[in-house]
Amino acid sequence: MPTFIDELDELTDALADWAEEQVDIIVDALAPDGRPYSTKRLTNQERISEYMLIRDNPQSWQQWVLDKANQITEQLMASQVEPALIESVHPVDIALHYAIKYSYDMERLLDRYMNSRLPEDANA
Amino acid sequence: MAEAIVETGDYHFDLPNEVELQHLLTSQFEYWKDRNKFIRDARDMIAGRNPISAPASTQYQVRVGHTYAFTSITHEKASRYMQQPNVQVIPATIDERAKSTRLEKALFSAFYEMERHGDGDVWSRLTDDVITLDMGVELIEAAPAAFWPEIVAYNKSGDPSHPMQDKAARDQYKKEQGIPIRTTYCPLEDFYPVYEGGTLVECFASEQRSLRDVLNNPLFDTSRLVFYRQGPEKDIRTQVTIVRYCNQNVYAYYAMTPATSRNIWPQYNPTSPVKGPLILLHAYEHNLGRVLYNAVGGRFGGWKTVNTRVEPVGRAMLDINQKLDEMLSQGLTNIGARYWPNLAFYLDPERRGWLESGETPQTPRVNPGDPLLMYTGEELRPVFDPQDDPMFMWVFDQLKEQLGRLGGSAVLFGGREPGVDTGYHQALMISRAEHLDEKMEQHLVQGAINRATLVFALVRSIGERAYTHYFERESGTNNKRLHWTYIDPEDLTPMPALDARVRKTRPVDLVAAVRTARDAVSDIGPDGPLLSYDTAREEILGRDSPDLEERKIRLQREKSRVIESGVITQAVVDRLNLRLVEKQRPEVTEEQVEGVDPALLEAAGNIAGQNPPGGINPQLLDQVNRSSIGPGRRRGMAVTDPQPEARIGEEVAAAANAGLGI
Repeated sequence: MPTFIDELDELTDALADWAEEQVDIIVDALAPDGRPYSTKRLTNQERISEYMLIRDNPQSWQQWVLDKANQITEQLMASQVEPALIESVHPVDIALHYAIKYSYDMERLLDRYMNSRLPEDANA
Repeated sequence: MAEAIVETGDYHFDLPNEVELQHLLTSQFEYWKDRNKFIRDARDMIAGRNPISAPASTQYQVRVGHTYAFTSITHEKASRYMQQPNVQVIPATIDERAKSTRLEKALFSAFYEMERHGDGDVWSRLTDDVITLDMGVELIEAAPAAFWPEIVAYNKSGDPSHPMQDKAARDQYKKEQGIPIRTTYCPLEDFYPVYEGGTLVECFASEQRSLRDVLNNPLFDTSRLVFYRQGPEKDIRTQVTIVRYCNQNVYAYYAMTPATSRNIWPQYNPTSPVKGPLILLHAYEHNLGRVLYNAVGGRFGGWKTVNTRVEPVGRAMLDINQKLDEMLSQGLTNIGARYWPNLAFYLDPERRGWLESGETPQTPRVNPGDPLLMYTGEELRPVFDPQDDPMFMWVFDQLKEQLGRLGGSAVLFGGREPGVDTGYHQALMISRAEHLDEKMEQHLVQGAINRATLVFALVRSIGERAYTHYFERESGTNNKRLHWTYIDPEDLTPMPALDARVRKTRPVDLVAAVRTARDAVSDIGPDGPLLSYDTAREEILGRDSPDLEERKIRLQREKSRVIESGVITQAVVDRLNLRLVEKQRPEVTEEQVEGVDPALLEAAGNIAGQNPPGGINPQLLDQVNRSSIGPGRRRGMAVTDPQPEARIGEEVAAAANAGLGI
């Protein structure tokens, strides 16, 4: 027989599902290309220049990943999520995933830039 | 002078011999003959079998109808009572509340199982007889040999034939077999009680069974019946009158055999004495100190003697119903004669002529839609003219109203009878109906208590715990959950005090009861309320197991407090934020890992070595470690300058300036 705690768990899951769906609907409607709010679009040249500051430098990469992890943690703490719960989503792991994707995308962009000299203001 | 000692004999506890029993049975058949005539008339009226006198030879077709007014009153009353009585076990102290709750649940389940083991629907049929005939009867008997054969069977040495492995195995067996008690409905006309000073000391009950059944029953001693066997086809068609005898200690079965050498088995007839020698088939001692029949009285207390107050009232109702049926028949005949009319033709013989034989001419054939040819002066009209008769309706209404006064009315459930125009009149009707029903309800409550007492007495005499079960629905689902409960003989000494509820709550009752309970538990001064919550729930609201109700209320309150504290809201926010963060995490493939800056892979290894909070996915680390480029090595063209042409231009310019000595 389900206990009171089981019932509460089920209730919070159901509400979170519903709220997540609402957020998705709104974000998809307002930002279809996924660009974060209050960021400006950089040119390819600017993006490459920014990337070159950390490329080939393990310490810079390390700082980049830790800064990203801190950003995620601060975002969750601003929503008053408990620190123990924040650890459960592995913020450093998420930051590393972002770093790998960023580096992969930028390496490809560099390859294309060197081979075909893309216009400087072309979008990524 | 020595006092004379009078031997009275223990007729309450001994089994009479067959001759004594024969005399006793014959006297009881004679004594209750008039009661059985009344019962037969009542049952005929209910079934619509009452004969209606009508003229045989008429020029019109007589139509006979039955109003079933008596039947509708009995059905309407019967619908107010529950399928099974709800017996409450009154605890002596607060500590015994849990035990009383268990016994209540066990009894409620046991009643259903007893009826299933018997012939079903026993309490409902008993209630019908209480309403209609002022008494209902059921037989409640224990049969551990039939339901628990492996526990009660013993071999010749006195040891159990099927020894159980241990107590747990014994309990499992008893749970599977169910409670070894059954209840069987006994029609009142087949029941012949012997009352002494209000106590039922012994009784007879008749039934019919086939000869085949009697001869093949392993419990019966049929040694004196075998020469009555006639073959399988005749044995099943031959009905044998079985007489059951029960006193305060013994229960016995007798067969009433043919009185003459012609082998005609006497057929039981409730309204005429049956004669034939009795042969004992089986007897056993039940040792309960009371008979096994639960005889429940009705509004007038039941049939303890042939002179009861129910018969005059019952006869009056049957008489009124008979008149209603006759009036209905007259009305139907009248309507039939008017709307399927006989037509009278008034013909002119001079125009029509006479037949040569001197007979009158045949009536013209009139087909629907065809023209009809008639001579001037001729007529065609129905034999009976339609006419209203207000006297008919007035008499009919008077009879119905009187029947309602005698039998009670539907006003208790909101019904409004014709002619009741004011609220005051309606309140009077309700008061009258309540008074009639309340007396019947009191007797049914007593009958329910007797039923439960008999069940407890039988369990106590068996000496073993009897298991029953009930179902509860799981909260929030449609699934049922099984719960075992039991009646333990140790809980039945002394016999618990009982109360019962037999009637469904009227909708208006609950509203009034809640209002009363609220007033009773409110503080009225420094001494607190008049009644405790438990008492108010039990006695005013009629809730059995008030302790369970209190537990539910406490749980409901705490649930509300948890929800109001915001715990759930915070948990939802936490869960949502974590999900959104996780959702935004990009997927990483092996191809992507192979194509990144090697310095990143080195940094990943360094970060993993520092054991960061939350850790890093081992699969990702494995991909990093297995990467073919590894830290410090590069794949593809090394790009160090985003504008090499500009650098070449600068070098050329520098070289030129050097040559010029600038």
